[in-house]
Parts: sequence; C-alpha cells; structure tokens
Amino acid sequence: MVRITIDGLDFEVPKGTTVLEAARRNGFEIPTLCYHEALEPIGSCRLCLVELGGGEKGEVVSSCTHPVEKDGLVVYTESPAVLQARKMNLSLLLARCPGVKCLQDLAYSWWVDSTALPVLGDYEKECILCGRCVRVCREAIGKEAISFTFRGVDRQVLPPFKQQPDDCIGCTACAYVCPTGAVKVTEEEGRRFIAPWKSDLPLYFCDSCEAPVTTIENSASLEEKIQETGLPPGSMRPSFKTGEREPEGTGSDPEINADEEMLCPRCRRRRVTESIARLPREKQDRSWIKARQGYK
Amino acid sequence: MSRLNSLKELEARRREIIAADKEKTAAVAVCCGTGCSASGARDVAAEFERLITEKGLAVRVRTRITGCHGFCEQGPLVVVEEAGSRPEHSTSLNDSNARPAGGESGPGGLLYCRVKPEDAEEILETSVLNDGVVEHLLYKDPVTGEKFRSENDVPFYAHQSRMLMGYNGRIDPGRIEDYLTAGGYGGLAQVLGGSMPPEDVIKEIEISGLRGRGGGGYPTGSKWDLCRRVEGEIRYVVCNADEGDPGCFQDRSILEGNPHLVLEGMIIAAYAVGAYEGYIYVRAEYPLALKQVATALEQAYEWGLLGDNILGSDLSFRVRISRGGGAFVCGEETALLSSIEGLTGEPNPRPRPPYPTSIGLWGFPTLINNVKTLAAVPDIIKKGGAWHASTGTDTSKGTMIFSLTGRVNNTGLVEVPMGMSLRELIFDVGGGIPGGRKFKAVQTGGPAGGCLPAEMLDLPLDYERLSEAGSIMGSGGMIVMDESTCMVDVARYFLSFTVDESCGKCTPCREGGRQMLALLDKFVHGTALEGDLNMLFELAATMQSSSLCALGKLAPNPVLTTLRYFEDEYRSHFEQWRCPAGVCRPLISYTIDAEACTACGRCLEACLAGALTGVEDEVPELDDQLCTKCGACRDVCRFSAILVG
Repeated sequence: MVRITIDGLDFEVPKGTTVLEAARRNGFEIPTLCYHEALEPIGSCRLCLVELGGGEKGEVVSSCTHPVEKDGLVVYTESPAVLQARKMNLSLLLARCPGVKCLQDLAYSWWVDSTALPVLGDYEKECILCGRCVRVCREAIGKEAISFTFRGVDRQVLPPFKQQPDDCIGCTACAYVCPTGAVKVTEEEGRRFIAPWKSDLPLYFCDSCEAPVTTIENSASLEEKIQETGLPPGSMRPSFKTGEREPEGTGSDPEINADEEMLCPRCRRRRVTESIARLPREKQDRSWIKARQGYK
Repeated sequence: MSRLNSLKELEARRREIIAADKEKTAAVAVCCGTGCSASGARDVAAEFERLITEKGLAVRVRTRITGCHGFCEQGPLVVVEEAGSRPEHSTSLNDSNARPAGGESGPGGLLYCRVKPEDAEEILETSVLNDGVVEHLLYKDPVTGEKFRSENDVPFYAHQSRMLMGYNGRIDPGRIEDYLTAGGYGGLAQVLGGSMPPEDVIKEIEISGLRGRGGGGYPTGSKWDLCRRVEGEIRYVVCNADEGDPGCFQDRSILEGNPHLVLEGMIIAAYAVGAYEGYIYVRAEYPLALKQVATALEQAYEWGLLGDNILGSDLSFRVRISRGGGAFVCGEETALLSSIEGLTGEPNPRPRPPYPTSIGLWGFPTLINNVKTLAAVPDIIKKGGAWHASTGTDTSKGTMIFSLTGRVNNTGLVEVPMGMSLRELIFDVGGGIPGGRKFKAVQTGGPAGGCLPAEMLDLPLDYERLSEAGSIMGSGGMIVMDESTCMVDVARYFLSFTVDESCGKCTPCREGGRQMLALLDKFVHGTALEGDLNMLFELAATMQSSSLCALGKLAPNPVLTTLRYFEDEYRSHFEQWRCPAGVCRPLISYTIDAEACTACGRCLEACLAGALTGVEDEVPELDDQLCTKCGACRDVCRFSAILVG
C-alpha cells in the first residue's frame, strides 16, 4: 500500500493503482471518456486530467495513465489549471460532435458553454475517437477488425481498406463500449449489420424458440475461448453443428442432444435441466454443475 | 578488404591508404549534397572525372564526391585542394591533434561557387595543373563586392567553427578509407585500447557538457549513465535521424556526407552502455542518406568495425536501418520506438519516468540520441571532454548546426559555437537580409519554435535563454523573416504544419490545433473580434498543459510568441482591417501611383485576371473587383508604381 494525497485528503491505495482509480474509489469525481475498466488506458480524451503537486512542479497529467508508485504523491483533481484544460477539452469535443448526448451531459454538469467554439465540419459526427472500440476488439475479443486510420483531424476508426473486415465476428463489443453510440448495430432478415465497419454476418436461430441468438462466427469464437479454459468440450457452447435430430425422448444423454441442436442459451439451459430432472438422482450427470463451479 | 582483427591492423591499414594516396598531389572536391545535386553538381563531378581520365591525370588528381559543405546558396560548390592544403593525415591513432582540414584552423582550398560542367576544363587547366585562379567563379561578397580565394576566408565559413561539418568537404561518404585518413575510428580505437572502461567514456561525455541535439537538450552523459545502470542483458542504441522540420537538413547532411562519424558515435555509445544492437531510424524520404548509411554499414561490417568482436575486442555490436514513413511525430522518442516495433507511430501515453533509457524498444533499456549528438562523440573521446567544454556557454557546450533559411543572403548549414548571438549568426554568418530590407523576426527551432523580434537579436543561442524567450533550440531550424512578412500569416503557416502532422490521438492537439487554425483564418480574413485573441490564448494554454506529447505541447509556440512580440500586428488585422506587411490578401488592395507610373505597359501584360486596363501612354486603371492580388504586376513594375495598402 502507498499513500496518496488527493485534494488535501490522505488515502492508502495498493501500489500501481492509477490515480484515476484511487480517486474514484475514494469518492472523487473525475470525468472520463476514453477510459474503460476492462481496457488498457491510452489517455487520449484528456478529460481525466489532474495536477500533480508536491515537488512535481504543477504538471498536468492524465490520471488514467498515471500510476501511484511511491508514497507521497499529491494530486489536485479540480485545480484552476485542471478545470481550465478539462473544460476546454470538453468544448473541443463538443465542437467536434455537437449532437452527442454524453458530451452534452458532461457539459451540463461541468458548466461548459457548449457553443463556445464553432463546429468545424460535420454536425452529425458521433465518433470522438476515444478508441474504446479499437481496444476492446484487440484486447478483449482478440481480433483486430478495426483500427485507427489516417492522422490528425482526418483520424478515423475504420476496418482495413474500408471493406467488410474479415476479422469481425459480429460480437458487438465495440457497440457495447462506445460512449457516444456511434457504433450502430441492426439485425434484419437473419443477418447482423454493424454500420460503421460494413460488417454483415449471418445469425443463427434457436432450434427451439426460434429467436435470433448471435452470429455463427461469434459462437465459434466463444467455443474456442471456452476450450482454452480447459473445460470439457461442449460444456458451455451453444452448439451449431448440423445433423439429424434424434426424436425426442430416445436419446438419454443430454450432451448428445445438445450437440446436435442449435439452441439459445436459455433453451439449452432449460433442456439440460429438464433432462436431468427426468432421471432419478443417482443417474443424473452432475458434471455440468461441477464444470460451472470450475469455471468460476 | 579483409576484416581487421586488432587495433594494430587498423593502424596498418591507415598507413597503407595514406601511402597509396601519396601520388595524388591535388584533389577536386565536388559537393554532391542534396542541395548541390539539385543544382547540377552530379554533372559537374562527371565532367571532372571524364576530363581527368581523358588527360591522363588520374594518377595525380583525384575527384572526390563529397557531402554537403553547407554553403548551399552558392552551389554547386567545387573545392580545389592544392598540395599544401591537403588535410593533414594523422600520424597515429592516438594523435589528439588529428583533425580535418577546413575545420577551425585548417588552411582550406580554393573555393569555386555556382560551377557548371563547362567550367570544369578551365578549373583543371588553371588551378589544378597550374597555380592560377579562375576569378569569375570565386565567391563575391554581395555587399562589398570583395572576392575571396580560400574557403576559410569567406565570411560565411570564417565565423563558424565547423567541428562536425568540417569533415564533410574532405570525405567521400562512399569511401571508408577517406574517413580513416581523416582520423576516423580513432575514438573507437581509443576506447577499445584498454585504457578506457565504459565508466570513463561516460565520464568524458559528462565532462564535455554535451546535451541532446535533437531539441530536448538532456545531458547526454547522464542519459548514457541512466541506460547503463539499468539491469539486464539486452540494451539498444537508437540513432534518431527522423528529421522532419520544414527547411531543416543538418541531420540529413551529416548522414549523407559522413555516415561513419555517426556510426563511430553509435559504436562508442554501445560500448559505454553495453548494447549489442542498434537502429538508425532514417526517414524513407532521404534516399541519399539511406544509401550512404547502407554503404557505410556494409563497409564497417566488412572491415570488422561492426559485428562480433569489433577489432578483436570483446565488443560486439550490430546496426540495422529502420526506415520511417515520414511522420513528423515519429521524431518523438516513444512514437519512434513504436514505429521501429512495427506499430503505428504514435506517442505512448505512459508517464515518464520510466524513460526509454529503462523501458524502451520492446521493453528493454534503449538509448536514443540524435544524429548530431552521436556525431559529436568521436571527437570528444579523441580530444577529451574538456576540449569540447571549452566552446559554448555555461550551460550549453560545443557547437550547434543551424539550417539558415528564409530572407537571408547566405542560406545553408552553419555550425556555430553555442552562445553566439542571433545578430552574429544572421548578419555575420548569414550576410544579412537581401534587397536592403529590414530584419523583422527569426523563427528558431522549427515549426514548434517561436518567432523572436529584432529586440531579441542580441540573445545568445543556448537552450535556457531560448526557452526563456518563448522559443526552443529544437533541432536547429532558423528561418529569417524581413519586413515583408506578416506575422499572423507566419503563425498560421507553422500551425498548419503541426496540425497536419499531428497524429490525432489526443483531443487538445487534434481539435485544439484545428480550432486555433480556424481562429487565425479569421484574423487573416479580417473577421476576427476582440474575444478571439483571448480564445487563442485559452486554446494555447490547453494545448500546452494537456497535450499527450511534446508535439502538441509546443505547437502553440509560434502563435504565442507572435502574440507576445507582435500583438499590434494582430490587432491591426481586426481593428483597422489592414495587414501592415501587405500579405493577407483579403485585407490588402493594390493602387497605382500615377506620379511614378511611366505607362510602360508591362503590368498590363503581366495581369492574368484582366484587372488592369489601359491604353498606350496612359496610366492603367485597376479594377478592384477583378484583382486577385497575386502581385504579378508589382513584380514586373520597374518604377515601384504599384502600391499595396
């Protein structure tokens, strides 16, 4: 544990925690846009600025990338220099994407005049280039379907050659982490579209309830990941193998049934539970339950 | 050539080369740097070679194709070295007096300027075969009209102390032999001689007071020491040759003219910090530099100056070339390392420390030094740190190479001692402002530097004094501006460069730069308001305090310094709707001075917009609506009858 002083109050935090985490855990409010708990910080939005005091000559740094390594770090989260730069950066982002809700909300709570700077270019623009989508794709999903392209004011997030990316599995993690809603996902006629990347992938439907589940690629990718964890094959996957369906009731092994049908997680859970419940307790296959415990 | 396995063999090889060259009593050095090549130096060199072979002079006379001599204004340059002025060959490896001729005290040869291929024969006949001088090719002072015979008498060179650049004129960059005879690899021989453990090498660099020449000015000795102290087996030495400032070409000229000097510096650095591998990061837009470095590497490997067990010692070092794609931001350390690793060249947000000296290339300790820093190392080792420290000011030692460009008579590369005043640099070395115009400002340190006004002309050039004045040393850009330059326009030009080169990763640099540019556009168009001045300051403050890397932090410098020293000029753009320098087109109009006009009709022919109408022997009339303010009429008028206001 190391000691840190935030706005004049002393705290103890684990060594290596970032200043942002240390401050947030102790109730300080620091706005962020490009920061996400699950991702490596890149310090690009410059809203989480704090001022370092105590010997470090009033330097303004991004708190999301600044680790607390030594005792005695002194930070100010709302010094005049911090507020000036933070508000101006927010104005700059608003001048880029005036219509984005999360920026408007931040401007409201930080008393920023949202018309201080003129909008240069497209009023409809929604991407603030925080790069969360790029990082989640690479770091969490393990794919590299999209990346930053061009530089300076022309910087954009795009798939390679602006074509439908081969790497995209349609998991929609990019849309999930996007703070502004710039990544739009639609599902139509059995296919999933992710608008900015031109992704167009087929969905699979549950054989039982016939609801769309997810893309075939995503389900394959999940299966791969589960196998990496060392669980028995098929223990978690919503199967998508095609094959003759055995008539209901003849197959006694729930695993085989599951393998041959494409079920959504909900139907699959129900089917497994039902098949187990039908058997007397001593004949029940309890490996499922063990497997789940092991996964946790 | 066979591999050299000991210091003795290196010395023997040196003597061999000197002996083989003894017959050649004269040499014709043709500058084939990028500047002179562009004005036809390659043809001149080819003509000399042809003539020398034709006349059977090859035994006595040598044509030497060299790198940049620095006096690019007068190119192509040819230097005829007479027998007496040949560079003195060092007698032994440890000879501390071994220095290139044409340096601070060398005698220098006959300097011919603006040589054309057809002049080659005359030069050969008059100056090489006889003792004559081709008068019409000598350098003539533009002000006094005085002619100068020798290279070292020319005022441009006389005020310089060419510690690094002096080698360029004496060395054919494609021949390692030339570098060796000029005392090259003597520094390496000294450190490998057994008397200098790495600690002493670092000590010597510390004594020399050498500071990073890439712009930051971090003490080189401490940087080496930091890198050496990090535990671990693997370390890298990286030479930063990603020079990207508009109008700067000193790193390029050193690599093109004397790649072995940089290489020797790198090997010594590798010895000092304990590295086995190194990279030279050169931008791919420098084809000649790339070629010369590749040739130099090949020769060094062949001669055993690189590779395993260099000169029979325990030192092993390999150097590879990494080609940059030409992004300005890749001169920034962390962006440069990302680029070498094969990633997008973007600065790393990691707080520093840890510096790249402890966590750098692929996570290993990495020493990154600029070309000029590494080039200064061999001589410091040979002549001692105290020798280097004897030049310069209290805090900045040695010399600095500036790319002198803009409205100045002698444009080119100048190497002057630290602490020289701007006035000496611009008026003594640079020869003043052409056309009798008045000096207005000078931009130092490239696009991220500041513009300093005439009041600051006595400012000594060192790292601290420049930053106090709001500018930076940077990598040594020096753009001189005269009274016909509009400072708002200049600030806008430099900012547009940094905005264009911004990687776009962080908000203040990407969006702030763009907003500042839009504001400056308003000034140029005369639509600015009082509040826009404040907004410029606020945007600049945000960029300075919160940008991710030095590019964004320094980008507002041209705007801030012009606001600081030329606020009146900004004000007149929106208070009186006029541009005092007569540059910003929306704010100027042309009128014809009927008194001065002789109705010669030249302007009528020059005007492409059809704004000037008139008949013979009458003062033309100017239609403001049609006039595009291109200035073509003004350029052709011989009576200064076209006024801008």
